Amino acid sequence: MSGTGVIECEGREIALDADGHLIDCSDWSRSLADTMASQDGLTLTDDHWWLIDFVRNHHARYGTPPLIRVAIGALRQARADPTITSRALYRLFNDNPIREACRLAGYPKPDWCI
Amino acid sequence: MNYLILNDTHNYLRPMVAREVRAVTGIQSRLYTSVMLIHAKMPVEPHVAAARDLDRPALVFFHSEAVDLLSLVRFKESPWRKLSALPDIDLVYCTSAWRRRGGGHPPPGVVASTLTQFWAHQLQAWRSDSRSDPADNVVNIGLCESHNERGWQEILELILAAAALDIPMRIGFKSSAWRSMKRFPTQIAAWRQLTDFDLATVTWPEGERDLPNSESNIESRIESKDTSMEMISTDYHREPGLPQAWSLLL
Repeated sequence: MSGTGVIECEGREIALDADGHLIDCSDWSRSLADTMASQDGLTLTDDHWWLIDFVRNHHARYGTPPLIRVAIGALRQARADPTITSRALYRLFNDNPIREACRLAGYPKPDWCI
Repeated sequence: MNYLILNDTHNYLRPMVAREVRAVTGIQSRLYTSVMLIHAKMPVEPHVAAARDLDRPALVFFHSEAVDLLSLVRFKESPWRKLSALPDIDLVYCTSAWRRRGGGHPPPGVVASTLTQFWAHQLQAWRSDSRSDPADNVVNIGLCESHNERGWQEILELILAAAALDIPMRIGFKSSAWRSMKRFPTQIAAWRQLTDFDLATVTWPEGERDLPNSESNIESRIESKDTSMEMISTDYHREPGLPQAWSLLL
């Protein structure tokens, strides 16, 4: 997590909160997510993008982040692989994959203690 | 067997008490005999009395509006303060509910916790209680009151925290609760994840099926029967030791 107050992307300066989340969700773009990830030394792969897109879709539909068990279930279905476990998500983001996907998806830090 | 005693004789009394269970707290690695959820802030005296009567060591978890009881000014004069001084009762609070209501420093001896930890205590209890039958491990949550939007949000969080730990649940709406929720489309949308992802079985009274913005796949998974509410009511009136499942009225 970058934790900086501002991130520059495509010639724009975009404000971040203390936890590195966008202050204004409408600033989000895919290139901004790539930039945020690269600041943490991470190159987003298709697997990262699957999770980010899933979190964005879930947030848009329900107004909350998904539970990790929901994301795992969706990933199993998407990959047609019932053996997938939470390890698959932790390999993508080793420190709280849903929260990190929320950050890169442009959403605030989840306001709950789940 | 694990069971809950429900005290919901009127609108303000909603503690959930798990007795004869043991749990390991993630905070102090303590083995608890009783775990109690305080969801409403009133009335204080019956809640304190119920907590005082718990088999100890006991954990009392403050959630939702009940965290207001832990404000420094209010707590100073509260009977909860005496209880917190007892060595075998731990008072903890939901950090999210606390933060939403202004946060600040909690009273001395009252410790931050999470909803996930709360359910983890219960889950640990199931596993550690040799008398527990896996068939009993269903949490029944009856919704029978009007709540404001934040109230609905925090009940959903309580449910999602249990779902995160794969705890099976049956959620039953009474008519008044369902009518109340329909005033908040954002909450309706949020609660739909329970059925979309099979996180819980949701029921509400017959004739109350006009789910706003409903979709066919959701409707097909939601039971329209009111049997869970009947079961909850039955459990609620039983004496301690008789209920076959955990039940909670909110």
